Amino acid sequence: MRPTELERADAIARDMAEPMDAADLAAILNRLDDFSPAAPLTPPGALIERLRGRLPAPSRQRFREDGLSASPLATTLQFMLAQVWLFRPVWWGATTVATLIGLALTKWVGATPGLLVPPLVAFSLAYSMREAGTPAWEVELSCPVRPYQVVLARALVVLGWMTVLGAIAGSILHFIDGWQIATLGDWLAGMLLFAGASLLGMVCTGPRLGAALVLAGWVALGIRAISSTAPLHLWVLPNTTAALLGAACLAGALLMAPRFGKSVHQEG
Amino acid sequence: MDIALTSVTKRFSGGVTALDRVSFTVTPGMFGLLGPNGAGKTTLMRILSTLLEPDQGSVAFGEIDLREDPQAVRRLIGYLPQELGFYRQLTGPEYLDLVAGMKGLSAREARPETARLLEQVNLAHQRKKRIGEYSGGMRRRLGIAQALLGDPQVIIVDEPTAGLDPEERLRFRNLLADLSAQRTILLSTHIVADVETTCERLAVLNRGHLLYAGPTEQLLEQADGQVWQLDLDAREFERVRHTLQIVSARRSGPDVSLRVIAGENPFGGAVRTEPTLEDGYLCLMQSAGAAIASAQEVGA
Amino acid sequence: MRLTFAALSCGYGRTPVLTDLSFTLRRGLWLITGPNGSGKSTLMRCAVGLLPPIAGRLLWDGADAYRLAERYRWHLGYAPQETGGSPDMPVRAYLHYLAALKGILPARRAARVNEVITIASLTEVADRPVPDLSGGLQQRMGLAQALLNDPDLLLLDEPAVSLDPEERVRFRQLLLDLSADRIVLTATNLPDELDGMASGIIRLSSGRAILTEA
Repeated sequence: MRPTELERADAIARDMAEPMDAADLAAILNRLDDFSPAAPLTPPGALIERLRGRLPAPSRQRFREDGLSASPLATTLQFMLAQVWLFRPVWWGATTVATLIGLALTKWVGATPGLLVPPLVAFSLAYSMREAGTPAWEVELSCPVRPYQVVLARALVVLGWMTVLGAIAGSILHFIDGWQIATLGDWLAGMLLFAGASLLGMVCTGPRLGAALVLAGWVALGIRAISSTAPLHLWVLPNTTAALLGAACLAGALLMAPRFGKSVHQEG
Repeated sequence: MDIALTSVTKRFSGGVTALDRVSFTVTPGMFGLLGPNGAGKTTLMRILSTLLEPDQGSVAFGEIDLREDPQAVRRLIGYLPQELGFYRQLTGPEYLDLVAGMKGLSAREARPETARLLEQVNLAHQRKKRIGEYSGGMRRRLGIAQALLGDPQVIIVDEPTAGLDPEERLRFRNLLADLSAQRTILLSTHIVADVETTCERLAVLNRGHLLYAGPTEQLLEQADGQVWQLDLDAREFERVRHTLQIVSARRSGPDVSLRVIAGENPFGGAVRTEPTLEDGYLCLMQSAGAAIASAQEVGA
Repeated sequence: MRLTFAALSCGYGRTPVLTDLSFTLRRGLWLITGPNGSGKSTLMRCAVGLLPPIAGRLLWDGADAYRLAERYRWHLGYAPQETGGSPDMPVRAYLHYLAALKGILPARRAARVNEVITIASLTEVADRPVPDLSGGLQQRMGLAQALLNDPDLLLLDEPAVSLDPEERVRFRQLLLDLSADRIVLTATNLPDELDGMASGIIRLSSGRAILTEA
């Protein structure tokens, strides 16, 4: 209270100590009107902020205690599922279109089904690992994940989707032209073989170079198929062997997963 | 040489007004340019270095009008942008030759210049190396060299010390200070300390508007009487921190020593202190807020 | 809560960039400074668990961090110096994705993502694709993701480079708050800004590191 107000308060108190009648009391009460200090117009928000320090603070509940998953298996499954979000609509669309093109080529040009599998697989895997060597990859590796789990999850998305595409294409061919289900075997074998080769190439040399090497291999196979007259198997090896070889390369790439993007570190 | 900007306005597609009737004069010596991200500083510098044309308004370099004779302006200026679009396959000397050509220097004029500049920025012994193999520091030094080609009267520098370590920063500031003796240098930066120590005058942009243009000292004075040094123990600090506008803090043991901006003495226990340029800038940004009128330039 | 460097040597390949680092960090703000090329980012990467030590060990509360592998990373958040490589997703969606990687329960993700968006002042751009953001905004996003799991150990490599003066002041406040009850280790080229708040400074030079406590 400011000095003048204090004086006024004192004066009022003194006066009230005197014996008085109703008129005097009324006069004093009027003076009280002048005296009562006006409440400062503090906005409620500011007031709360000022009081916040005096309020009992909730015990600092660490988010980690109840916000983080307790089961490592559940966590792993969750983030592996989350990998699907890295595949943007452009990829789902492009792979579907490519499969339809392959279907058209098979139907009208007589190309082997599964012809387009290698580039589809190689590009898809390069796309899935496009972050390798960038700061975004470092950010992911700073999370409680193991590199091979991330790579495996993404490879599974690619392989799973391609299997679905293959099944659809195969069914269409079956219904239109009576193609046998065995053609799916070609598709799957090629897929595994080239997936393994791509990933292995990419982990050793980087996403783009790895995919490029695989494509070179595909082109070589294509030239061989076109230039030779005798019927021969598209993937050189029988389907089962090709598939197993592919799976082995895939396993190798997963073992080496931490090496992804290693070549791009700089000093700072 | 003075650079006089008069009512410079620039709009981009999408209705963004990058600069709105900006008028001020860049005087010889070191001139600072401050402002938040997106304030229009980079647009302004691109206009000055003839990379963009203003929609309205005019820019005069001494007697030369930017619109009428951009080529003459290009010969006058050296631009050190924040991101350098380098040609990774070229070596340092080759790149400098290229830029010299773009500035209109003949090959005969350029040769001795190139050699001298490479010496000056300490890249002469790396003449065979391709730019793609340069370290960050080397790229920056090459950037300085290209900005100095043709001995420009005006040098425009955009965020030059971002990413430099303290020693490199000091050396760069000294280099600019040396150069500014004979030239006009426009220094745009987020590091207020650099402007404080080297620039006599500065301008502040925000959202395309000019908030201030004039002596550095006077921007400091905007915060006069509003900067306080306050010592609190840890518990008091926790209680009141949200009510204060804290500029910086020092911890000494459990106690905290705060530098705050406030209209009046917070809690009655603070000591008034001399404002720094950072304080002045913050006060300016606060008071500018959303109400922005075209600012009057403060006299020389 | 302590991070101990025990005679640690780290680098890429076999040649160490830094040798024989020996110090312990507890709660507070710790700065790493040194000339460019002296190994600041190398040290950060080693502390994150991205670079296995060439010699010596990194200990978190006494346990070997590299042997703990992903269990060590539950406790940490990391924002690298560079930005880039982020997928073409909106900021919010990308933070959701990273929240999944950090093991945050699905039911809590949305709320936590909103919290870090607010802390890092990204509300206005939360629905824009990450690659479209300016360098400064991407750095703020890097900070946001590092805070997602409320880490005990926060590793920030040059976090303030693209921030304008006002943002710098806000960032200093944030660091002051954060360092009150966790270990914040930050590499910076502007030590003067922060050394008042720091519990100690680690200076790198010629492959060695010297910790000076405040």
